Amino acid sequence: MPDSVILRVDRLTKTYKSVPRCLTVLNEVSFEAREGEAIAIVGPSGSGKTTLLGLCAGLDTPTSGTVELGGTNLVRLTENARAALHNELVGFVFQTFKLIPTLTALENVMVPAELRRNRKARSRALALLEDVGLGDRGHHYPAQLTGGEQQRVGLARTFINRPGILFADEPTGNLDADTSETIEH
Amino acid sequence: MLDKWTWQMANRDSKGSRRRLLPFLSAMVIGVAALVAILSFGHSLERTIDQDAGSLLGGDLRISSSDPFTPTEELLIDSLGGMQARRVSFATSAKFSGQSETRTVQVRAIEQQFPLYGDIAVSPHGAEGEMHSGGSVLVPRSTLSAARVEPGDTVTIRGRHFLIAGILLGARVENAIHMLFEPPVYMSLADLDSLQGSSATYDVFFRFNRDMDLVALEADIQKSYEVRTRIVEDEKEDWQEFLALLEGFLGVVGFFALILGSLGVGSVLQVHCKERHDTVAVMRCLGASSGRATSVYLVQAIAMGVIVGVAAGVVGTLGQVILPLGIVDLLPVDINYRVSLKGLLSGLGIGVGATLLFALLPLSGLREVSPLEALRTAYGHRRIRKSRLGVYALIALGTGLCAWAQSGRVVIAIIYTVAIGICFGLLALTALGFIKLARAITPQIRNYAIRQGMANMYRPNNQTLLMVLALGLGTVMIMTQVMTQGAVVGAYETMNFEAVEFPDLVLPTVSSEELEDVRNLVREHGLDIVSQEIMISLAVDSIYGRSIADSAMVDTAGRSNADRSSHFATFADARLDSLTVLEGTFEPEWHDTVGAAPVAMNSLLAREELHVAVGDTIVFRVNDETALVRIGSIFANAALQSSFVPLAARGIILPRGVLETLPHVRSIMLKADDTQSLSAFYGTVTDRYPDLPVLNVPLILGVVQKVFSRITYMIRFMSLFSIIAGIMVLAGAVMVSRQARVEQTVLLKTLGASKKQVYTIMCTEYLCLGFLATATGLGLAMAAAWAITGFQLNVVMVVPKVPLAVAAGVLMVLTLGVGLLNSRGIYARPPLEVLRAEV
Repeated sequence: MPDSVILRVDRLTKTYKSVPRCLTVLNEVSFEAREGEAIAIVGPSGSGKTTLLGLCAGLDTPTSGTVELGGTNLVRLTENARAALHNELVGFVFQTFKLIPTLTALENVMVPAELRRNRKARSRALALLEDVGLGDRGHHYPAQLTGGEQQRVGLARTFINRPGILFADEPTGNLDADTSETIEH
Repeated sequence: MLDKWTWQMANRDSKGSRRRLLPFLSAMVIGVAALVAILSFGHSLERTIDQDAGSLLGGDLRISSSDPFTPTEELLIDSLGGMQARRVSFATSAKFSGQSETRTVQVRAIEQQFPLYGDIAVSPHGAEGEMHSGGSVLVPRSTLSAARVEPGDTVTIRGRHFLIAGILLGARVENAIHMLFEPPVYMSLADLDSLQGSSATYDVFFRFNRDMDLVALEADIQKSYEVRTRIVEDEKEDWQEFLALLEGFLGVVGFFALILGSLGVGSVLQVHCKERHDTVAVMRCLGASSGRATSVYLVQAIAMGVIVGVAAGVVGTLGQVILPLGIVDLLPVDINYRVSLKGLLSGLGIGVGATLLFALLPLSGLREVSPLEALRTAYGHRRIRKSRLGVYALIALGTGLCAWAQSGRVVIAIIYTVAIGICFGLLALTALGFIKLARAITPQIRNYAIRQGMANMYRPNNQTLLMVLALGLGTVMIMTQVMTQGAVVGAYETMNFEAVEFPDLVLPTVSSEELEDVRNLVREHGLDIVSQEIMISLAVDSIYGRSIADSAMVDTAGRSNADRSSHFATFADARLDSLTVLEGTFEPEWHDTVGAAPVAMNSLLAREELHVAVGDTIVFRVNDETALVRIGSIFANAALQSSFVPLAARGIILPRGVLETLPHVRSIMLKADDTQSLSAFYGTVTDRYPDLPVLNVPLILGVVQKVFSRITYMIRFMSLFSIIAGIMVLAGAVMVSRQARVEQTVLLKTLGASKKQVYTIMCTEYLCLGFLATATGLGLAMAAAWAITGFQLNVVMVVPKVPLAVAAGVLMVLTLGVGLLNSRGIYARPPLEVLRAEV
């Protein structure tokens, strides 16, 4: 196996137990993703896209099958180890931005770096906000930002720890076409 | 786990919520402050008593006797050395100049050096010296005012006129409550010889060097001499008992306030943490473990606890000064109020402990938040983990421990914990039942606004359960207190000549020699004899085995702790209308001269003092005679009946037939048509029989009511803490739902709803919540009050209909008022501002 594989999904199955019968959302899905590669998963609503994303990122546990992220089998990790892996390797972009409403834009961006006890968290967060064009909005709360601005803050937060892999769940789904284009760039 | 990031996050995250947390924290502060106030007051009083115990006793040691000391006892007194002072006391009637009425007073004939610690406060200066020079007395101001006399007037005591030399302002050695019943009149010991009568108590007070082992000395004296002794340690112990009783009683009232406050903090944290589920899910996506994410809110809870503890310490320390205002003049010392470190630390401990305990449940919910919730909000229901059951158990344990700490009794603590658990359960069931009912009936309601208001009670994220729990439990606690207090107050008010016909005078121990003459005096003065029960003073000689068959085996080792004391008995022909037989068969007559006569015994005496049951036999001693009796029946103790109900209702009832020959006295109860004839009789009988006790019932009842009203003040003051805490919780519970109201209102407004419609929706919801919580709370409160009054206080519960209706109305209006007050300005909010906001 070449070293460039960062995500390996093997025979991944997810079944939800619900009355009166079980609902299998994913059935033995397998694929690989290499560094620098971009993979888009498309499908109609309810087809299991978000479930697959959650399982790949280690946010949920599969019914069967394995997920290897950066060479580490997520299924075997303890909760703390999985949290550390998220912090080091994974970046998330959410459809609904998911900024912490009680923190300012700057504080939101700083969170992942602060969790790593990075002393340069503040300066790096300020630089990232500059990069996304929000250098002067750092002290604003999410409620004071537009949807596009919130998503840009989310992006800055995603990149603060220089993630190895980025998971984006319909990142422009809540934005207009022009803003979407800005985000994509 | 609690690293710098955690503290930083906790601080940043709390910024937007602090104002909203304030009412709940205030409720908790009030609850904890109630307990700190009790503890601090107790501590201040205890320290003051510790410092002044010598002046309360009047010396280090007191030796007392009901008869003049024998030569042997005088030798003992001489041998003890130290500083000594003598005092002779007796109750008698005093007739003040210009007055036809006489008053019962407690004469204190004292030597000049009495008391050996502290002093006697008099006015004018020098009056005490004049008293010691002979022929004059010192009288309390209240007695002088009641008799409308002043210094310079005279008073006749046991046939001799005394000049009133001055006003007795106070003496620590006097018991304040006894002073209300029998005001002390001080005279010189040298004047005692000139008085008639002999019945008195003789005391010698001693003051020793500090290294004297008073406990050992007291034990030695008691071993060899038939005198009563008392040392400063006994004085301290008595006060500690009083304090423990006071703290236990008021502590339970404070405990209610604490539970209310805790409920407030628990409910706001529940809402606070629920709102943070999304944040926790995001934090977990960003690399925080569940423990680390949860610790942010644990830090917030700790901070809240510390704030509560510190604020409660300050409020409670100030509250200790107000708490005893009603009884401060009944206390023998001027309390030296100080900041009690114990009280402050307890406040801090209780504040942090209770906050954390009630925070455990919402915090355990946060631990269960999955990072997947950041992607998908409706990530399905989390199952209740076993750890949550552990949290419930911890809360129950903490509540029980707190109740135990306050009441000092395990059984009471268990009862309170279970009762609170049942209340929670029933309130939750009621709320859930109503949610189901509302879901079923709401679609059929035609009016749109009312339908929406009702529907708000079962929609997702509704506040029905929380509001019903907070309001309902507050209602239960406050109304239980009101009804219990009402029943107790009612019982005392009933004593006030309304339901029970009390005598005006009681002559409890008229001997056979005095009987005929006393009866003649009664007739001459036109008084009516209400009853004249035979009273026999029975001392337990020995308690036999537990059955008649074993009665031949005398087992003196089986004596109970009451074996030396005497108990009053009367015959079965006395007024027995209030008698309720609990066990056995009551036999009014017995003519068998061989077997043991069956007696009826009061349940308190039988079960708690003598530890005997139906069928047990006892040998009683009456002077030099003995009587073998058998417990034939046990009758109910009437706990709150005064001493003036027939004594038969409180002691032992003997059957007519074979025991009439026992030495006895008569207890005569009298009623008069007017106060003049009553006063004239009182004067004549006390002049003729100076040693015969005469009880002035209205006077004594008045004092009982006076004392009770002071205690009622303290109960009401403590209840105030509960009521304020309850209102805070109510305000807070309404406030946490404000955001939901704002969002709903804005959406409705955007869709074209009028202001009237919006407010009708809110009024419907708040009225329904208020009604539901009040009705359930009142129902539970009635059940609780019935149990407490019936089983613990032994008084009849009367449902106070008007106060209950008023309370129900007030609670509903309060819910509606607080709800609407909290919703003010909602309609005026710009929709865009709200629709774009996430907070």
